[in-house]
Parts: sequence; C-alpha cells; structure tokens
Amino acid sequence: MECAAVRPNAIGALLTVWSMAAGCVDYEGAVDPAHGLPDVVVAMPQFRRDVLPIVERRCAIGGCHSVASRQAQLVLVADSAFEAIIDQPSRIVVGEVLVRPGDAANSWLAILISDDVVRRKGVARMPLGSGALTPNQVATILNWINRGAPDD
Amino acid sequence: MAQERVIERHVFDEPEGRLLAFYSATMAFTPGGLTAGNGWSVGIEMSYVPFLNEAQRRPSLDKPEATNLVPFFPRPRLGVRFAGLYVEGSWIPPMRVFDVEANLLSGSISGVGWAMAGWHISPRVWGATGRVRGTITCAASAMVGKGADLETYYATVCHGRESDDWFEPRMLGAEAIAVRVLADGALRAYVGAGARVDRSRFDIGVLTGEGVRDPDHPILELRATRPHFTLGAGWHPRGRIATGAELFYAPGSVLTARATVRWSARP
Repeated sequence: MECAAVRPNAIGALLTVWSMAAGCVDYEGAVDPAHGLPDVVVAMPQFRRDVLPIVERRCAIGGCHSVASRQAQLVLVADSAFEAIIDQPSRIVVGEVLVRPGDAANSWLAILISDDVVRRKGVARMPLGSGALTPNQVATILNWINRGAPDD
Repeated sequence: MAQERVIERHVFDEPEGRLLAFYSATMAFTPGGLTAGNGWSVGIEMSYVPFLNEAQRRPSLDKPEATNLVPFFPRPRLGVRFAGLYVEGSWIPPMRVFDVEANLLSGSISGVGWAMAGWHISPRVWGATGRVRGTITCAASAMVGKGADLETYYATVCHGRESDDWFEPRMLGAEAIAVRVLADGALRAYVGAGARVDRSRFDIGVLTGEGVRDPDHPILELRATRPHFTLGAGWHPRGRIATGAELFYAPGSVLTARATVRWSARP
C-alpha cells in the first residue's frame, strides 16, 4: 500500500514539527538590577548599614574579591573591606587611590563602578561580568565617600 | 587547608531555582509516549529541549553563558514486564553529543493498578540521576574577542580557561497514569499527573591555572517538590515496532514533547 510506504517519513516529519511547535519555556527571566538590595539613594549613608551590604553582595563573591580569589589583591569581605579601600592604592592603575575620604570624584572605586570609560582608563567596569550597580546604589556609595567615608 | 565548596541552596521561586528546575524537568523520566510493553523491549526516546532566551538563562550575571547546548535530548530505554510490574531503565553512557557529555541513569517501576470506567490507572515511580558536563560559565567562544569587560572576566575570574561545569539531575518522582486502550489495542492513550522531589545541582566548574576546580565558586542546589503532567499515546498496530509521543508539562518550567520508538522481543 502506498499509504504504508510513506507513513514512516510522514510520522517522523510530523513528530519533529510537533516537538518544535509544542516546546516552550514556562517562565520569564527575572532580572533584578538591584540584586535583592535596596534600590534607594541614601543621603547620609553609613558604611555598615548602607554600603557594606552592596559590597558584600556584589563584590566579595567567589572568583572576585573573596578571601580566596582576591582579584587585584583586594578582599572585600565584611571583616576587612573598610581597611582594604580607605586610602589604599589601586593594584591595577598606578597613582590611583581606591577611596579618598571626602572626594568621590577622585576615588578610583567610585570611578570603577561608573559608566565613564575614559575615566576608567580602559579598565573594565565593576562588578565585572555582572550587572552594573543601580544609579541609586552608586549615588549611595558616592554620598558615603563625600561625607568623609567614616567607619560607622 | 583546602577550601571546601559552598553549596548554595535555592528554592523554586528564585531565579537560580527556576533555571535548575528547567533543566531537570527536561530530563524527567516519564513514559515518553509508550506505556507498559510485553516482555523485553528496547527503545529510543527523543525529547525536545526548548531554547532559553537571554533573561531566562542568566539568573544573576550579565555575562553570556552558553546554556543552550542541546536542542534534543536522546535517551535509550530498556523495559521488561514481570510479576505484574513493568520495570524500565535508561543509561546514557558518557559520550559527547552536541557540546555536552552526558552520563545519565534513569529508572521506573509501574504497578498493576486498577480499572475504572474504561480506563486503567497505574501507579508509577521513577528516578533520574547522573551528570551532564559542558562549558557553560566560562566559554571562550562567548567571551574572547567580545569586548574588554568579557576579556578581563575570562582572563581573571575564569583564569583564562574554559570551565568544566556539571549539571547533576537528582530527582525522584511518582505519578498516576490513566491509560485508555483504543483501536482494538493498537492505540494506547494516556494522561498522567504526579510530582517530583528535585535536588538537582549545578557545579560551577571554573578551572584554575593548574586545571583543578576553583573551590571559590559554589555548587547550586535546587530544593523543590514540583508537580508535572503528561499526555501521550502509543501506536502498536502489529509486529514488534511501536511508536509513541508525549506532551510533558512541568508548570513554571517547561512544556515539551517527546517521541519514542520501541522494539519488543515479543510481538
């Protein structure tokens, strides 16, 4: 029978088309630019309350500025983050200082988290390979530096 | 002292949990279009793995990850009926298909069940485990030559090497399958509903310069119990060859189609 002769190919083609048509992913990608952190500008930020949570969540992660990986010789876990950045030189660009208390415009850390490629001198934006900090989070860090970067 | 790997546990509602659940669901060991056969049988199942878009496949990072590695998931199946039970197993030996190497073991037992209003309802339990290896988190093809940021990421966080990532399905499932025999026994249509306990893992396999796994990266583990549903039919007119097709729906994860061809030792 002709019908029997063509059936295997017809069934195979139907199954392939059916598979492609029927398959779908049943969820939306949940992109959270704030990475679970508060997305507000804090006018008078405190280091441990407002800045450290951002640093811990976005910087002190495996492969980056954790104790084990210490990229750019910088460890940003809670116990050592403050001492690691205040008046400390950058290990990547000679002459830059990570945080100059009271001077966010000239603090290398503030420059690195900005979108200003020229001021970053070709260095990749931080956090590396991950979404940028939100404008509110960046503003909070700048506010903290500009108010003298106290260890509070 | 060597650093121990951190196991990060994620529930289904977290982005990481969703991604893990998606991949494990594509490997669930359902009937695959054919319900219990006679005597010994061997078959091959082909399951479609839908592509994830960019937002779906990056739970927390912006860098590209090579997760859409396999569009179809083939699985051999070996079944036998004895003592009123139908036992089925599957092993995918470690060989490279597309860009991944899978070594997966699955098995199921279907019980006798009972008849009700023209349907035959059988309980079925199954499990699936093993490992799928691929280059996902640090893929040179997605990073090298793709801009300064990605180049830096590849050179530093990835140590300039491609990763050896492992996805490990770890599932136990149970379901009730209601079968209706039609066309003088040649056609068996079925619907199924069940749930699976899912502890699947993704081992972020960033390799150090020495080629060993960087212990600074965590192992992600899903902690979820999720429902699933099947709708399928098997066609076995005469002779030893049977074909079947199935729709498998795991809510919140995937809707996919499976097709199976089986050869039975006994017609």
